[in-house]
Amino acid sequence: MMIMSTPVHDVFTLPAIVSITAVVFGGLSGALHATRRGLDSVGIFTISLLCAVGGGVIRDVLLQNGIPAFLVNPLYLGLAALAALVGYFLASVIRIVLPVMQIVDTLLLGSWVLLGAEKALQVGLTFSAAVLLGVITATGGGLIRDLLCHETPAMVRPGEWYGFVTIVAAFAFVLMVTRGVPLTIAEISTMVIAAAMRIAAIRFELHTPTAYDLWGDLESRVSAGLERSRRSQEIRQRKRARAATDASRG
Amino acid sequence: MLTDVAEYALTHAQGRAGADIVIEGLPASLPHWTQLAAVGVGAVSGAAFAARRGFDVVGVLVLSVAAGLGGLLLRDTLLQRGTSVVLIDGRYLIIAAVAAVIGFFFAGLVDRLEVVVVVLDALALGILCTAGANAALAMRLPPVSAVFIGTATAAGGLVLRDLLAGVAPGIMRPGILSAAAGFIGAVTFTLLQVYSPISAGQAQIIVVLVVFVVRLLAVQRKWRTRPARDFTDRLWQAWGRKTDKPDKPDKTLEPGSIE
Repeated sequence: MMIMSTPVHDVFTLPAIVSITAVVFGGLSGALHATRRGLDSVGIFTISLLCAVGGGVIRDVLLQNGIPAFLVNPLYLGLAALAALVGYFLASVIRIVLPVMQIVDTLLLGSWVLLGAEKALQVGLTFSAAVLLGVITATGGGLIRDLLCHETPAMVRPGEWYGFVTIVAAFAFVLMVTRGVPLTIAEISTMVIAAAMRIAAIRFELHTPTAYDLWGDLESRVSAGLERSRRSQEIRQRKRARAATDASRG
Repeated sequence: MLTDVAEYALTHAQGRAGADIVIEGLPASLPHWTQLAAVGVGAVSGAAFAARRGFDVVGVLVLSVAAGLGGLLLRDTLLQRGTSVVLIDGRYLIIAAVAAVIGFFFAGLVDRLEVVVVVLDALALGILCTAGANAALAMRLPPVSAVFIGTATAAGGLVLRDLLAGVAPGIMRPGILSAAAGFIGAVTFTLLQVYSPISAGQAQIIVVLVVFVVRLLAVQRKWRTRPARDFTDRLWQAWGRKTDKPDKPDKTLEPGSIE
């Protein structure tokens, strides 16, 4: 597919109160994550900021989309600093509100995808680029958080559906928009899809499979199959040779 | 090419016409080569870091570039100022390459000259954090963002180096304060720029001195950053409630990692 005419003209924005809540909760969860790993104040603030605004920054940098919002509006840095302070001195308080934060995160997961994918479509990028940016906006913060904490990013490890949900949601959204579904309907259904998949994943403990889970030890199975075919070929050749000698005798 | 300081002075000339005062006896600004030197110091220590860990030629070169130029690259990427300074001005990469050669062949010498490296590193920290904060202020970003960009410019190279070397980023863990010194410098610079009429060049000189003193004192007195401490229980008790958990003797989350 070539660069398509932009089906998205107005940018999807969350209501201010929702996005501020999301930034605060992201910052708090990041601060808790960092305190658990024994980071110092610099580390706690960095991780808290990344979890508050991470994905959006990566989106803006990749799109070369002007100065990231968190640098223009001092509110973001202030909130992240506040979250880091709470994490530094009152980590247990965050632990108490953790379930609330998880619920909010579940409900808003689809909207992160929208923030990325819609922006990409708006500047006229291709289908796959929009999907990628949707996924990055939703998961990029956590990815860099894990890198800075020196862990394998949770997104690339097998585990509860999260990255998978964002991929499906982003794909569904871009597909709907490019097939001419009205924007509002596409947005709402994307958010519903993401929230529903996430709730199902938590409720039924749905985990992303590894290649081994799906196919077993593929290598040994392939080599066993090759062995079998080689043997049957040998038998066939032997039969053919015997038939030939029989014919020459007969 | 304009230095950051000149750039700043140009963009702010209209807004603060006649406001910049120049302190007698202080040079007007740091020459541009100080920034190149700061990058070189970071690159040499990055290269020595890589050589000590047994990296090959490519590894030493990559880590030296990352440690030296990472901060400025991060700054220019975040500020979206078009092509980064470190790519436009070819000298930066040449300096990083020379630093890699030094680190590759003379890592032992760099280690033995630890005092010199610490001193130069303290100077570089101040130069880089002012370069970052200055660029952010020149783009008329809010002071908070200038502080953030300043600290990120000072610390970015170290984080990038550690990530590429596959070790946990050291500046984010409890230890002798270094990123915190950059933070202090960025705060001082931003305050000087926003609330005092001192010219940018002289503010930079003052801040470099401040960061230098703070960092050297930190190294000498072993000032360390600490992991988080949980005061929730104490707060709870101050309210006159009983906590569910029995009182732990050590309130730190990571016993043993503090002090």
